[in-house]
Amino acid sequence: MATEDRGSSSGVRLDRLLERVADVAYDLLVYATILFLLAPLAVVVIISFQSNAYAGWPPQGITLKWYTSLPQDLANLGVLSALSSSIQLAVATAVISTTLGGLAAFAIVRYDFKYQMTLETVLISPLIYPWIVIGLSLLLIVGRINDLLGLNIQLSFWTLLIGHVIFTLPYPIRTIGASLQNYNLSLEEAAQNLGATELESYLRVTLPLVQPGVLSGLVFTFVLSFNQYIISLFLSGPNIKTMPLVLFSLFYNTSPAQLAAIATLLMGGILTIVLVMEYVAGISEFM
Amino acid sequence: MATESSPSVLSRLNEGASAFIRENRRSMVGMGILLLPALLFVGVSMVFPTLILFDYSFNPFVEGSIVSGFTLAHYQRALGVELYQNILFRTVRIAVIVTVLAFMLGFPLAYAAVRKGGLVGKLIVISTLAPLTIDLVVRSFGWFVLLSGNGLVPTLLTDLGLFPADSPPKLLFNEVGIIVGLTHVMLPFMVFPIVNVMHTIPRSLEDAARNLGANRFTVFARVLFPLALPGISAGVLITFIVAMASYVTPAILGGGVKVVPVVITDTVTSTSNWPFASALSIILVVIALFVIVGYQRALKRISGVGGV
Repeated sequence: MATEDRGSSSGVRLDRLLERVADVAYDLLVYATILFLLAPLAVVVIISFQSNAYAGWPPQGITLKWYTSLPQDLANLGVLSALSSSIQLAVATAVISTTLGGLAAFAIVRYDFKYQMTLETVLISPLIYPWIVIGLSLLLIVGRINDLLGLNIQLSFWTLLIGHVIFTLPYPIRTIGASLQNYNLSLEEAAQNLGATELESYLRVTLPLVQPGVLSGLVFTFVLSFNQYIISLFLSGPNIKTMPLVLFSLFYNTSPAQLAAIATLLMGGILTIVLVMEYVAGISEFM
Repeated sequence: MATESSPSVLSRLNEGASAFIRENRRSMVGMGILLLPALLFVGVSMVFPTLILFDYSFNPFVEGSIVSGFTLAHYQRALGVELYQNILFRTVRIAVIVTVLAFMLGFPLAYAAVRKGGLVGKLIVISTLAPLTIDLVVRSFGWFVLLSGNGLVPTLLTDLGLFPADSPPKLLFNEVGIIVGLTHVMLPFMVFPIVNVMHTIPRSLEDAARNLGANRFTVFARVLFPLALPGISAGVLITFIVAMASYVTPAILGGGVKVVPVVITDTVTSTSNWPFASALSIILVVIALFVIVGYQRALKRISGVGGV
């Protein structure tokens, strides 16, 4: 698996040959896996430019008609209102989840206490908890509360928000926790010795230093919330639909080429955000 | 905006908050204030609802409505009826295969990302990060196009002579389609934890092992694998459980071939048989817990390393 050992002078020819073959095979595997990762994204972009509404291979004809017709179709298909709800929901989720998670990460890293591991495990547990159960059980409990207390809680932005915050909570705990662990406590103390108050030292020294962890937490929670389907399916009411729900119904109700054009624009937007943040904060290191 | 009084309000706020922090930062009160919001949130919106779901799974469902009482009928149906047994086995089988495939593709990729570094490393990180951030419906749609009867993959496979032209491989609306789609979804969850742990393994260890005569496989089995185990464990557990519980990819690529989350959703939306859906959900949670605990135990026995 390692590259060929330059230092070794001994070695039968056959051994060398086998080493070369293994190197080439390894490179092939790596590039094939990259192709595997990118192929389904690339194919969506490709068929959005083909004139045939149905996706076959090879694609036929080049056209922009699936894009030029979008301005009228988007509103009709409910894409615009869903996009707006999804963005609002994802921003709110990112802010709340990163705040709750950041505070918890601070406590976990800075304090030594009994059951620290247990508490951390509990807080991280939504990461490996079936999402469908989160959605189903929250929907169930809304119904139960309405029945038992005679309330009338409607499924809305707020029920969606609760579901989205709970499943994203582990990510900022991990990213901010990792940032805090690499962080030198003496900087904070130095600031306080030089006359900064506690609050100032946290806001002016600690926060900027853990910024990559905070930014990564915000980006991941935003993206996870924006793409969440199953929890939203259970918790969205008649008045609010999110983007993944609309995309799912478009998959069955519109032509592949039309869906591909919408999906391509969406991918362009999300990938721009993610790649810029990868460049700015190295978010992949916190994943 | 800035009036005469605002600086003094700010500075009073600053002093008050700082005094509060100073008093409490070494005490349990400070810790509680930081931890409590997140803990409460997990308790109120995950643990408590699950308990209610558990309670609900024992309610009888008679003639389309839920009545009070206690019954094990839903568990007997989920575990005893052959249709549901098959779906349970299929769900677990797919999750296991996806986990193995994601590891077999993910480990070499993570290794290359760290050891090759440079442009290749960047290319790997970007190509792993990109799909992770794209909507599941879009990705499943991409695979739908690639795998469908006249799509690129079956066409290529028959053109290469791997399959006879009159019977191209069927890759959609069966377990193969679900496995391909889910492996694509889970691969980043496997790669990133391994990349992160791989950064901490000095290259000199591998070189030393090779100089002492170890071949590639021995270096992997005796040096890399044990040292990367914490990252691998995180990747394996997340992959297995998320794959087992995922809905969108199996719903789009599986067609009539169903997995447990699809059956749960169908049950709720078409028959409103909430207790049965609850019982299926509890079974998913129990399998997940069983796998996590079993995995941690096995790991401790091997090496004393913790998981996630």
